[in-house]
Amino acid sequence: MEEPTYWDRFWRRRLSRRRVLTGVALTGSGLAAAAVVGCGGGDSGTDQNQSAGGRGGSGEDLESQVPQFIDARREFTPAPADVRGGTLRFQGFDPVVLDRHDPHQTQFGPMYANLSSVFSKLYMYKSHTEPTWQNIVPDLAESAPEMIGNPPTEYVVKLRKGVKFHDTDAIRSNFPDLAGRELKADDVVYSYERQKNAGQSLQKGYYYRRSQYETIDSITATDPYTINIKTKGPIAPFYHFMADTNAMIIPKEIVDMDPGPGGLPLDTVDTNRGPAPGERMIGTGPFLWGDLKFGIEYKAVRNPAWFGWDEPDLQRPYLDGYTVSGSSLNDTSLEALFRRKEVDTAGFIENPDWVFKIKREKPDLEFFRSWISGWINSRFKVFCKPFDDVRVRKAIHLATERQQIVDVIGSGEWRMQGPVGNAISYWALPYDQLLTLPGYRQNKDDRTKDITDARQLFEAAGSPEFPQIWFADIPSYIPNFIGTWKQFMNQNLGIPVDKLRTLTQAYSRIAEAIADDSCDLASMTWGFDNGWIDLDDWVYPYFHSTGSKNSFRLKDPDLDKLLDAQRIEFDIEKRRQLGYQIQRYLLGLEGDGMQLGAHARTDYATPRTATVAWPYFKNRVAFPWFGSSYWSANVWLNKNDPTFRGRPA
Amino acid sequence: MAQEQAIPSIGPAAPEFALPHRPGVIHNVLKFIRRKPLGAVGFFLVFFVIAMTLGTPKAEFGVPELPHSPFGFKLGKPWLAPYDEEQNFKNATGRLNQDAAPSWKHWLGTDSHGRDNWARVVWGARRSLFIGLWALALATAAGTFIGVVSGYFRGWFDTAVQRVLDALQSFPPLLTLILILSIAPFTSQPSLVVAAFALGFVGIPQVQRIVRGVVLSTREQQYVEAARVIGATDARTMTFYILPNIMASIIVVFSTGLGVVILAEAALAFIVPQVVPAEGASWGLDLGEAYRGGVVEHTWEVTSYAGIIALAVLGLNLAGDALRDVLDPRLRLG
Repeated sequence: MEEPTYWDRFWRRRLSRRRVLTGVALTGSGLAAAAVVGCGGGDSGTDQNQSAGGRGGSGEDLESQVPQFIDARREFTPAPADVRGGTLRFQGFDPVVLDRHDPHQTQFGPMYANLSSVFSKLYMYKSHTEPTWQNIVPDLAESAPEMIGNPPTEYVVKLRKGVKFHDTDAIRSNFPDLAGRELKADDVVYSYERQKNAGQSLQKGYYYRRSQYETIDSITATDPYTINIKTKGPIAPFYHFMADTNAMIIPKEIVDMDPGPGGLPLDTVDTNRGPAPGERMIGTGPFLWGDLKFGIEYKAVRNPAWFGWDEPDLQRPYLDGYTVSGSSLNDTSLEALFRRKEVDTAGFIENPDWVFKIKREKPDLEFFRSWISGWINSRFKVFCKPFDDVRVRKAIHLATERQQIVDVIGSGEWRMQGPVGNAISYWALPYDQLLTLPGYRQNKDDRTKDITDARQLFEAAGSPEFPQIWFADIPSYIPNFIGTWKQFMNQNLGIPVDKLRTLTQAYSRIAEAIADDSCDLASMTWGFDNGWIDLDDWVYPYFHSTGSKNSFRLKDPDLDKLLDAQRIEFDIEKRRQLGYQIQRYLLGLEGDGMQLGAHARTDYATPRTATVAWPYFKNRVAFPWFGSSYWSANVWLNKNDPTFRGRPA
Repeated sequence: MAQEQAIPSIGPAAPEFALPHRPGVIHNVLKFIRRKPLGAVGFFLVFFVIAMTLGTPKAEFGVPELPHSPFGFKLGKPWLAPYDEEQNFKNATGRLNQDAAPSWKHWLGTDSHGRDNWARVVWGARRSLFIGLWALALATAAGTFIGVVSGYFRGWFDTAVQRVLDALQSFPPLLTLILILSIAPFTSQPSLVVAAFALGFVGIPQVQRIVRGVVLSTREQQYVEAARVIGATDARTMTFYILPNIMASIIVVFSTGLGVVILAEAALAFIVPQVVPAEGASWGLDLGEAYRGGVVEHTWEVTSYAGIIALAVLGLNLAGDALRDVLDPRLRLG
């Protein structure tokens, strides 16, 4: 007798309720899928979800609810005594330390954020709306510097009295003489002299801000609380240099510490050696360096002995500390964490839709839009073929589909960027003007002309083969963009896709490679840069022939003249015009546009964030540049706010 | 003449001694579908995934490279892919046609780069399948060798080998994978060849454990003892008497293992995208990118990539189960 088959058994089964429901569900699903497929639009403009402003939903209706911070120092609400304490929690790249911990040597932006609440500076910015001298206020200094000369070449800075370095048991055991010691003028002299160091060996480290500190002719401590700085000549941005992100004052002891028997002599704050970071990161800021678990979490802890700027009676910082987690940096996780109040504030990483949605859903949430000073760019070694030919660099500039970068990487929320960031609108070329320039203009006819010009320039240069292009490995949207980049380079310049060889590398490796003279390494890179404050930061270190970030090996006397000129121009409006001229020069819009300095770097796009915060999070301040975490001293969590209920301990 | 007469002539056999009629292939396939419908669905899915990877070979020979020249010659565009894997589409305004819903032109919609999701699924099949095949080839070859030798010799050698492999197995496979890919000294770049090697390496203990178990029972069979009695060397016994008789188990291990390896590769690309090359279509990478950009906002991408991973793994598991039933004499149906 033949064995019954599956189908025999199938037909013999009774028509149970479950089988009927299963059948109905399957049929329904199939019909629904067919309906969706049938209703979907096609290309060529028939897609209904495509708006002129990019894909997805826009947050334009929410713009009016964005608070305007003018003076972060003054415009804050002091915390009542009964609600102080608690730990603020948010997500960020802060725990991802990609280079060094040393405040004077790191060039990893999120690291500045960690450091800036631990180490203080002589001065700081109170507002980012106009990053000019008017918005600089004293931090460790007692008052604005006395400027001697017209234009000034000498600065006398008076320090606050009674400012103490951090003091914990761990610090006390490693640095008994430093823990709780008063900060004196010698510490400032030491910190400034250190950043002048031109050494580039592993031991001496690389001082990326050297271009700023080399303007100092002499710096002396005339008494324990007074510093006299003489510059080599009039330097218009010198006041800014004292407030810049990495102008942090560190104690000599943490650099020159005795490594112990058998230890290596240390002259950097390279925390890969010696005591743990928490025991060496000793500053005078409102927070102590708590703990850093690489890639996972950074903790800052309240400094109870903080000097408190001009108002020590306020007993800031109000928080017991803050924690930055770096392990769930994607939009899906962030939304979930924010809804569960496991983080007190969150912004989008790649797709802003969830931020807009949750703000509309919960109108009481604080909503912020802020530009980020950082941006995506390509650097060229202008002494390496084929990038030694300005025509090739200009062709790349014109062929680059910046709108695609904005749409794909920035979900349509980013903006195209020129040589100075849009976040620093005071110094950047006006955005409307930028959008009319070749390479940026998106009008169909203009874009067609730019692409035609790009192809002609490239062919005139002999359609050279590209060396390997180095892409940064994070954030993930950069390596993910390689395929799309190849597509438009293929379409616009005619380079076969398989001839566009790419390599994905860590930033630390890219930094080494661009400093190397070999043309086999990183002749062209594609990655993120931190972004800066003053005009000088954006242009001088990069493009001056003596600049400390001149990885291009650019030596253009005409450009040098312009860069030197902006440094000695004290009339801020005239300096701004000089800044515009420099930017136009870099974009190949001065003279014949084929100067050596033109297009040494191709700038692409810059992020604009959308962030939400629970209403119990008070005195939040967001600056576009990294390194303003000292403002966390003002932050407090309102435990009496109804939204605070349900926040996990 | 007498000798010629002594040779019996071979004529038609009497009807009662005729061999039974051998059924044709189609008959066997239909019989298999009738008896193992789930296995048939599994095989259909497997053949579908294989079909997705096929393309016209180009006359370019060289070193095997994943995924577009896995056997040393270059594969052309997959026949089932309507577009190139990186080709992006624009709308009437000239902007990229991002995250579009399914349509007749884009059956599974488009992704955030304006690329066709269906084309990415098809191209991604090539990466997943060839990594899986190479990884499993390594795991099966090495695992079979170790399992046969270890099971055949037993004693202290077997104990030592098994304890080492037990120690290896005690590490979570995904962590071992990440570790290998992070410290791989022979490459400074994420490489699919290295990823295939790492996946294969992680699979060795599992394969050898199964093979060793079968060898332990096979080596006690009478025909193996007979081989020893007639003076066959150990190598000959293992190669010609044991290995052919455990082949069914090896085939089953291979077929079921492929699904596991494909899933592991997708999981690896999803969780730690840095350790695999970012270029080219990849089910795991594409799923990760869509997920990180928001599940709700990228519904079609997430559904497409998660769906194809699930279908491929389901197909391989169903096909593997059916194959086991057919090849294992203890489970074979009459």
